[in-house]
Amino acid sequence: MVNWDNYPNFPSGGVYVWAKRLVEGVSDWDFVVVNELTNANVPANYTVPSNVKEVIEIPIFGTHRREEYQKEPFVRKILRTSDSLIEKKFIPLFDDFVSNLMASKSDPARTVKLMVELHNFLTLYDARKCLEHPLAWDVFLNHIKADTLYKSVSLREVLTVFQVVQRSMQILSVDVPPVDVVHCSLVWLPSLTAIIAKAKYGCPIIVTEHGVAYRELMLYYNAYFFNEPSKIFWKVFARNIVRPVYEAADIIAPVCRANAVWERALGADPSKIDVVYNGIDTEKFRPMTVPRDPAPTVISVARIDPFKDITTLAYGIKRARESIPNIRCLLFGDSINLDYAKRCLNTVKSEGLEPNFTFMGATKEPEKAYNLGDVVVFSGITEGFPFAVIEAMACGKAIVATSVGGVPEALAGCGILVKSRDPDDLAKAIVRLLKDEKARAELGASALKRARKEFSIRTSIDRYRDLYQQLAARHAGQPLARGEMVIAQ
Amino acid sequence: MRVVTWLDRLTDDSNLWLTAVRLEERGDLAKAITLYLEDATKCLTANSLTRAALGGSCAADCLAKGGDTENARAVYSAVARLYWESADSSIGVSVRESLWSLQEAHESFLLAGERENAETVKDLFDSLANRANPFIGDNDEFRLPSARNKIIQSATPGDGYPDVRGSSQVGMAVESFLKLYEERRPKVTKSRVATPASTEEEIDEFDATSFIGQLG
Repeated sequence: MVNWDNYPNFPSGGVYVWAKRLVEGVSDWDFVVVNELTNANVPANYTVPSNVKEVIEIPIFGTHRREEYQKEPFVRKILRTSDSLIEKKFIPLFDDFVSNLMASKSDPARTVKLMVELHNFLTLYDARKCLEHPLAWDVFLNHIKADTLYKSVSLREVLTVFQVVQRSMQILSVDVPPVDVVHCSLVWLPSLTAIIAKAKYGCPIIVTEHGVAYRELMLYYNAYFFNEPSKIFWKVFARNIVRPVYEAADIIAPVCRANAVWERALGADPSKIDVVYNGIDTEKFRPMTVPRDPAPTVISVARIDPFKDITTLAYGIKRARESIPNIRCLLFGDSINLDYAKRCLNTVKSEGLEPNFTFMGATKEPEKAYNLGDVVVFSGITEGFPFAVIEAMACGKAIVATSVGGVPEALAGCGILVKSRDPDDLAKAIVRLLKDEKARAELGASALKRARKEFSIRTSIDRYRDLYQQLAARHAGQPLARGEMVIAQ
Repeated sequence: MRVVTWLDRLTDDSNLWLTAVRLEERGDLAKAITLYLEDATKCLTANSLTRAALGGSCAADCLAKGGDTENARAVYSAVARLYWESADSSIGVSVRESLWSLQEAHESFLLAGERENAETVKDLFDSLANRANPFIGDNDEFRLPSARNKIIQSATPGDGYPDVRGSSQVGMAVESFLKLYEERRPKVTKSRVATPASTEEEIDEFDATSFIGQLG
């Protein structure tokens, strides 16, 4: 299994939940988990089930060199890596690779070939010495200079881009063990290890996309880059990374049909796409009576993160308060984005919402949290197939959610969909449900029925097991009783 | 003091381009061409490339309608290069504007009969549009305008348009515009080809002291 800043180091978010349940659920398979880490200083005191045989952590930033972290021998590699070798062997390959990544129409098959050639080189020679060589910078800068589109981009921006490329390419120096199937939990740079595994050992690849990394990267770029050419650079770079992954994948198993639309638009072969919905424990998530305040209560279970758009939720509650003065909103969720958390706190304070809006922090009992409310609300601007929505459905709650990603597929009429980033729309739906007990009961009952029928953890796990068996059989020529997986995030 | 409204601006004679449009509609092509080119010249002097190209383009259309194919092609050619230059200069500010300018340059090159340049511009357009919109597939074709392409081939004097060939007024206006265009045109075309990477002198294969430093 291939992950990025996720299982088993970061125990939060939907992808973590998915990976954990999958690894635990498919207990008749062994797993090797590859986790690419943006920062080396991550929680390391995790526990994994006995079928996780190895966790390979690959820090990209925050460490002098990744091999030190992984206790890989590297002195001999450094000794072998002379400047003349870099110039003659590495630089032409790097030049070709960068050119392909910046091309308006790059050939995914060619990119895969170059990745494998680079991998073969970087497993023998020192990646850091190669990637930090001044000629590597010259090559990169020349590609930028040759393109009129980037003529107004500042040197500082180019340097940042180069550093990201330079650091990310370290992943190509990692050797993964031969396995029966590689399962990537996203389609982005960490998935390059899957391409290498396939090229070296013929390991079939399955990719699951939760939020569609490409879509979320676009949101990030649009929020943080104001210079149009910089945005275009990253769009092109990201597309030229994801397309080879789709090309190499044997099965593309997004968590919802909405993701499949993106995948097809990005060039994925539709015949490879097979949607597997997320599943939840319907015994744990069920309607239950919990002690609660009788005031009209809205619950939201979401990370305090810009993608969850908590500020719109706060403004929505403010609008709803005009009709229901004693409305309460309880937000369950932690934050790893301090700036955004401060912004949300300030919004609640400045809008005088403190009596109505409470930050509850993370909860270990989300099933009780959902049952504390009359209505459960989700205000995210981008989603895959959110666990929180199907969990709330399984608790028999009336739901108001933004119509993004796989949310409309999950609700399928068993809740109210609203426009994202629209506090008025959100408020109208909340008020409507809080004032109409019958509608709440009807929506809650239909949501409960749908969740139990369509989104059980067992169904989801069995689908993945079937896919693993199919791929492993294709790989080995016969069905395997017991396989081994590489999860790379 | 009387306030000049937008209606005044549209109807008085102070705006050369609008006056030229009115004259063209009335069928006075020779005068329209002169005013379009006068406007284009002024814009060119002020380094307002897109407006200059627009004026030039309208003049070239009138020249084609009036049967002066040779001058029309010459003006279209200058206009195409102005649009191309404009695409280059606006690329860092607005990719959309740059794409539009490339489209116009492509069409103007076709009208000037310069197919090779039209293809070059189309390739630039394709490349930029493909990067700006990552969802364009390999098989999608960009619809570049080609409607006006027929004007220059089919229009002959007598199709209801007055013949402008031989008009000294028109000849002088074209000459003046093209002269100014040539004067301000960069003498050396900027290379679009990457300069080779500057290589440092080869360092000794292995330096024991420097490698220690790399161990961190």
